[in-house]
Amino acid sequence: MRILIARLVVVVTGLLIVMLAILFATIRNVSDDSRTAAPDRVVTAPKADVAPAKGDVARGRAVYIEQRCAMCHSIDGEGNTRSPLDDVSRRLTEKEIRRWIVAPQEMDPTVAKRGYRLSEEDLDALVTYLMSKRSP
Amino acid sequence: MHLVRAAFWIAVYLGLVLAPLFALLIGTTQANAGFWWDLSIALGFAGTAMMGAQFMLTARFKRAMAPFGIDIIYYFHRYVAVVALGIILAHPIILASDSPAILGFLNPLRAPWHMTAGLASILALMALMVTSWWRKGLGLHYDAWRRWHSALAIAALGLALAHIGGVSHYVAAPWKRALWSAIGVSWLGVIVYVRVAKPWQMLRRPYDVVDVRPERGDAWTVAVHPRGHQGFRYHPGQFAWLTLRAHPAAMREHPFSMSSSPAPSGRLEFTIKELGDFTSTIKNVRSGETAYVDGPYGAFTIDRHHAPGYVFIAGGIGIAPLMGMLRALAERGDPRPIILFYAYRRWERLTFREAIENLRSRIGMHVVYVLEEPPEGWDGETGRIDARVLSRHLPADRRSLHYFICGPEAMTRAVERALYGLGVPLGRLHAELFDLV
Repeated sequence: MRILIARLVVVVTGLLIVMLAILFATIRNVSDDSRTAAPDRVVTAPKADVAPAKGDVARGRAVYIEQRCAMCHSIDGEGNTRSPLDDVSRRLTEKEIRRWIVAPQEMDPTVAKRGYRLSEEDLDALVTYLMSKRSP
Repeated sequence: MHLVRAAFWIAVYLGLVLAPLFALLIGTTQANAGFWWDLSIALGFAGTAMMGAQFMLTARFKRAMAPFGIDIIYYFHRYVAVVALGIILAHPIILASDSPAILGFLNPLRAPWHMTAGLASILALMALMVTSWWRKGLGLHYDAWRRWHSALAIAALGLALAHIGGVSHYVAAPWKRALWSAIGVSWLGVIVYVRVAKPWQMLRRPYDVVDVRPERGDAWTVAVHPRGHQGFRYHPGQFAWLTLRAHPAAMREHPFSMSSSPAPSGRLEFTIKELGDFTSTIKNVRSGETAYVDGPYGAFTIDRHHAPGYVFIAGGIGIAPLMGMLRALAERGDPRPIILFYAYRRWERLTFREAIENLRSRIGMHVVYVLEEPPEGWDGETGRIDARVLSRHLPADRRSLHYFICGPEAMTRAVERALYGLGVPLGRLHAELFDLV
């Protein structure tokens, strides 16, 4: 009897957690769609007739999100605040930012970061986006 | 079972485990992470909360454990750990399948420290599971296993918290940082309570070993008497953690049932069979040595279940807690009908044989011995306790009786099934799970 109840509580606990986690993920992504719909549209924009301008800030933002830069970096307090990028354009030149993205070990051999392989357009857009960020 | 209180404590447990998920639901920072990403993060947090709650489950909080019996809490601790590990493993697996770039963090030389902490936490958890589920197969000594279990558990939780703190953006808001610090401190509090406060309490309430005597079937009865205090009150059938020849903080305690009936003097008797590393050393213990006792625990007692009569079913050394109940019934002059089924391999090794014969005449109970290897000329039951044996000796009103079953897990399960098949409601079957690890 007690074993049955114990097992029931084990299963219920597991199910409740998975259900709540799914609820959490669903709610977050529904509201995100309405709140930041613009970058999403820009991501799909290249399929349109008009190619985005070189170094499009909105596209750069989309690349930033797509590559999950926010896992280790933050901008405007969003993301991992351990390594903020708000004033990166003051600290680094455009060329340095580029190196940090595609070949970070050339900038610092000890850094724990992989080099990102991006298309020329995406890289331009991302760098433009980062250069556009300046803390007030 | 005290249903309301039981339901309350189950709700407290669920609250502890689910709270971090609700905290996550209320505003997070990272935008557009995607469904799978968020799901994975939520599972990571929930898994960590489950890990923390594991410490509470085995902290032996008497009030919270009372409605259930602590043996079932340990059972729960063991099984819910599997669910927790599954949830925690799902966290990196979902992340890695969503964005394979994460796999780069598997290399500690190149990963940020907090990613390595997360990985190490999972490795510690897996080591915990393997050493717990297969302890005997791995030949791990119980005492050594307990120390490793504590160390690995604390490491796994500490590393998981370091991982969360290091990733930081889910706990960036000051109130979330405060919440997680509070959760972390409460877990730390539980560890300090179990490892420091409790041993200190036990140290102030020592016991003297007053008798160590051999019983049939390679068993020993150890009697202890409180030194300078009153001991504790308990219900017959309950058990306690006994420390012999060690400091209470040394984690060398072992759970045993009291085979004595509650005595006003506070004297306790434990009957212990030589089965493992520790139990084989009981015979070396001498009167006058110091013992420490943490108890009473367990819900396996007639005092919680009023019935028109009781049936006791023992397999081997499972007789110990039943003996406590039989002795209490005899001392109280209880007139209710009692039946004892007692399975053992051989007649001459039957633990408490003389004591049971003595009780049989005092309280007029019906005793059914079931021997696997009966001697020549044996006309009693043989083999195992099954539906045929039970139905031959149980009275017609067997549905109204309460049944107390204690023995090896396989026997307990088989007897429960047989009784259920004979029409006894599940709520009248009470079993003690004494194989805690």
